[in-house]
Amino acid sequence: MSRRRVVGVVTALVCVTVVALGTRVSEESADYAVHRAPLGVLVDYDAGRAGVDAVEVGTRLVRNGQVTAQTTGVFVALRLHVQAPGTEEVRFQQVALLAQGSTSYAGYGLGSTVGAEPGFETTRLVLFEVSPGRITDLTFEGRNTKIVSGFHQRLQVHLGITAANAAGWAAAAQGREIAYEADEVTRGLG
Amino acid sequence: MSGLDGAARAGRRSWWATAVAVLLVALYLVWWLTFTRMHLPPTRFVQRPPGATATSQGAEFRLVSLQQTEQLSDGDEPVAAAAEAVWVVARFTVTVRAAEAVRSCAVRLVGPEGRTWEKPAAYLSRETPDCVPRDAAVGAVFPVETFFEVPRADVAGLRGVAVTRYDAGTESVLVPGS
Repeated sequence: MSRRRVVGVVTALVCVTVVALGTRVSEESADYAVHRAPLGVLVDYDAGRAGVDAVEVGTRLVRNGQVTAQTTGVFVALRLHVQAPGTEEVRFQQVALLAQGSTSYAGYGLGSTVGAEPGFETTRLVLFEVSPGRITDLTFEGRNTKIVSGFHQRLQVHLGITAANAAGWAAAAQGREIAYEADEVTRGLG
Repeated sequence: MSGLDGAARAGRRSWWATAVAVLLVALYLVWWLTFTRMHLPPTRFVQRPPGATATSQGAEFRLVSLQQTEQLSDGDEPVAAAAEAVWVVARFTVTVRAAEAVRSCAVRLVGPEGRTWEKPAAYLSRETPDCVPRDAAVGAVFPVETFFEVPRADVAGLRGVAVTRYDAGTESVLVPGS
């Protein structure tokens, strides 16, 4: 084998190794803790507290009197509260709605992260677009995974939609408007 | 002819070898920087006497004033701080001590129990710039301003403004001179 070929093979192996290492490092770690919170209750999360309340369903989003979006499915809106009472910021890097059958819905029209600076509480309207047939046991999940992954935390909040009342929620959503003015509100913690 | 081709091939090989070496060194540096940043202890803040200066990236910072206000102007528009929060405006004089290709003028407001705040991401149009010009001459002095949004409960415990250093584990916390 010529020297040039050897150099080429070694270079290719180095490139493959580097890519594999990069993929492995950025892969989401299986090492995590789940904090389950009842709806409307803030629980410990990361270096602060977080929780979800004010769940609404509808088929139209309205801002400043204008319909900004409509769906043949169901929009689910909720308020995510994040408090950072310590010295570190508290942040959700990803949010999703988990549904039955391993289905997961990503945030609808969201910025990539939701977080609070030290001494502040951030309240953020979080929207999802889901299938009306898959709203039973919808569960909010927020994570703080980072580019270089390691141990991370997840917040899970069951939205209160059960098999017994799912049909009622789906019917209530039809033709209903969800009005929102500000995506995010911040206040200092007392 | 074949001698010239051989020289050209050798030249190309050496360029490739150099490029691969540079790439590997860059990859090592990125890995090393990421690893050390993940394992560094928290920054230690060193309180400096009133009117003292701190140097970072070839610029000497002196904190002239640190004032709180309920509203901050964004051009002609007043912008209120968040509920239960106030704006804190830090004004400096910055003296250029050395030519630097990159100068960020990064500072943090240091509060009680190690809490810190950086300039908010939201852009506000202010009269005074937040850093010195890129082509500033050595010896030139500039007024520089930055602002922070701080919980009202923390205002009484503010320690001062730390000038971010990229080459040390400690940062000087400046307070205005009397």
